[in-house]
Amino acid sequence: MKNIFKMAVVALMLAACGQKEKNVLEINATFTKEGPFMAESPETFQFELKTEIEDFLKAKGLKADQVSAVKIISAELTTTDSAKFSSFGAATLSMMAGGDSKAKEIGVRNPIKDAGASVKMDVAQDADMKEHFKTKDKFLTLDLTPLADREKGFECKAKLTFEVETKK
Amino acid sequence: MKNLRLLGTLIAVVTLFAFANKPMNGDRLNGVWQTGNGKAKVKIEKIGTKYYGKIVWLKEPIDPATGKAKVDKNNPDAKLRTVPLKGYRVLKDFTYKNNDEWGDGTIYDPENGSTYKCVIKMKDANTLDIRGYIGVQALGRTDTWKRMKTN
Repeated sequence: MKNIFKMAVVALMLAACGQKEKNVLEINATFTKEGPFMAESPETFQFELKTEIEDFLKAKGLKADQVSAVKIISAELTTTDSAKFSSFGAATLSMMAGGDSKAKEIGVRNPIKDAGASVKMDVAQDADMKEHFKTKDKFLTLDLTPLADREKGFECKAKLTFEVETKK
Repeated sequence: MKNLRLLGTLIAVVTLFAFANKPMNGDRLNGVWQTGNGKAKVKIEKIGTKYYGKIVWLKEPIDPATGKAKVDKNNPDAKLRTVPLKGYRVLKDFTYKNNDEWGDGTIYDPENGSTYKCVIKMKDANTLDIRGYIGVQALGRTDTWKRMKTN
């Protein structure tokens, strides 16, 4: 009986150690590029990501070394361009960073041309961006493929939601 | 002593000229390159501190099976199988090493969805040796890419 009680205490302690907490991190990015764009030639829009995960976690009383995973859960693009997204065939969102982290595609919308002024992307379910967020030097890129030649530039905004998983 | 000083100056001048003719950074890699089989053109550009290469032209852009533009149908993540191949970054995360060599990167083969470690060696200003490998460089294959002239 005594042994069973001890085992239960140990099991509870182990369960407590493995407890995970999920926090939502929202990032707003603006992608802008001057024209002209050539038909069928993919254009890369860049956004330097200044968000520091340490600051986000600090506000919640957490530390960076507690982060076990960072995953994207949604990505929405909006534009105020009069042509909306009709000038483009597809959109791919990627994240890249310095150090040892590897560039990853994290969202896609193909086709995008009939999406209107606001579009939700399909996001990568398995991509873990923990290493990317540890790095100061990090970028989001949006690749858009123009359907026709376009003289003027383009701007759109992205609202991205990440799930930051931390362990106690 | 005077001769030593002269020799030192000479070495400094020669070194200066050598580096002036050969930029220290790796930006010479930037540009549009045609793959060895001529089936694709890849634009290499620097983002942050690393170099990436995306497909900007395909000889056969349409997938005969669907009649639509080719997509990354072999992507391990099912949610990303509609990513268009045109615009796809097949070269990722390269850093300039030295001696006309870029390393630490990967190359993606959309034909089978596999990613390989990769090193890039610039043979001359218009020729690249792209070596993809598994594990050690000896177990790999080299493809030679040619620089495309841009207006």
